[in-house]
Amino acid sequence: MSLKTGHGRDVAIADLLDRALNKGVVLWGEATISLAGVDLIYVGLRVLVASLETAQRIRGTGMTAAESPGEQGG
Amino acid sequence: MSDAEPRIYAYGIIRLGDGGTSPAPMDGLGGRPVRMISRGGLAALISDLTRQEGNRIDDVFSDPALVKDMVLDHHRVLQSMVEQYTVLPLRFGAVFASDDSIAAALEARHEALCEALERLDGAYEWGIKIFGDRTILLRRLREGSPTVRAAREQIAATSEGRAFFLRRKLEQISEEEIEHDIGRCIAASLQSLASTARAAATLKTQPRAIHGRADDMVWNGAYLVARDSEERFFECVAALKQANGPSGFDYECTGPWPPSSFAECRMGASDEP
Repeated sequence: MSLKTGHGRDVAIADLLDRALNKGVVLWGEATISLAGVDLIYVGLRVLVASLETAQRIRGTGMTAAESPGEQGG
Repeated sequence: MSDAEPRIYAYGIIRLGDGGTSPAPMDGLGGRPVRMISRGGLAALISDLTRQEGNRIDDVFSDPALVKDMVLDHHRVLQSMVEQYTVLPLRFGAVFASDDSIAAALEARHEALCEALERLDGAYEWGIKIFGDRTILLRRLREGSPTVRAAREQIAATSEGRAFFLRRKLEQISEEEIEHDIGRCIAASLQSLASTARAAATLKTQPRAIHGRADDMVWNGAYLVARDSEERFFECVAALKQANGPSGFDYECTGPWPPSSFAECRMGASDEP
């Protein structure tokens, strides 16, 4: 994941998900349409992230590469 | 679920007076420009959802690949503001029906939002992860613990049948000792770090499949550190690394993050005044 923080460091997607999906103010105004189902997304994303990062690591160590599942330039 | 078509995504709240100038133009979710809706000196950072996203929001939120891009966009927008403004991050996924509904939320929650912003003033969130190498911990335990050394000597001097059971017992004692060592190291580390920070928050520890290291993540969390205390905070991390490195512990520091870990409150219908 090539996203940088303000100080130029790499951001790990797992760190980001923990914060974006579990923390932060829930401003539940009357007209908020959707905050439901976020836990479900989180589970889905964790699986996705784990599989992406495992695939990258396997490639990095020069072992036979598993196909990266649907990765876009990560 | 309302029948109204959802279409405005909200990232976070800032105080208009903080920045001096307006935020630089930037793209949000789906490449749509980020704009602001303001009430009473507070402004919500928002952008329109594209037609495809807005029309079928639940479908979008159940597509992991699309959501990953959206989470990254959410983070990028908040991150770009933290140097110029105190930013109160909203949890990912706040979609409003209209500009008016956001304005109404800002008005209704004005006091709570101002208080939440004040708690974050002049500080950044820094992530801290503590790792423990159980191989090193076990080796040091064998060398250093009198209990374990005595037990090993006893095993060496005893018959094979009895030694089997003693070995099992020793393994169990060693594991417990290692967990104690880890617990002690975490407690001492958190105490040192807390002395340089305004607040601390615990995050989920990550399994190896996520963090990708050979050792184990034994603690994961975040500190809210005032900018004029950053030097002390980093010195503290460096000192912990140096002091506990030989015992098998390591520390990772990430950030600065938009302070989501210190913006954890629900301003929901349940606490409606």
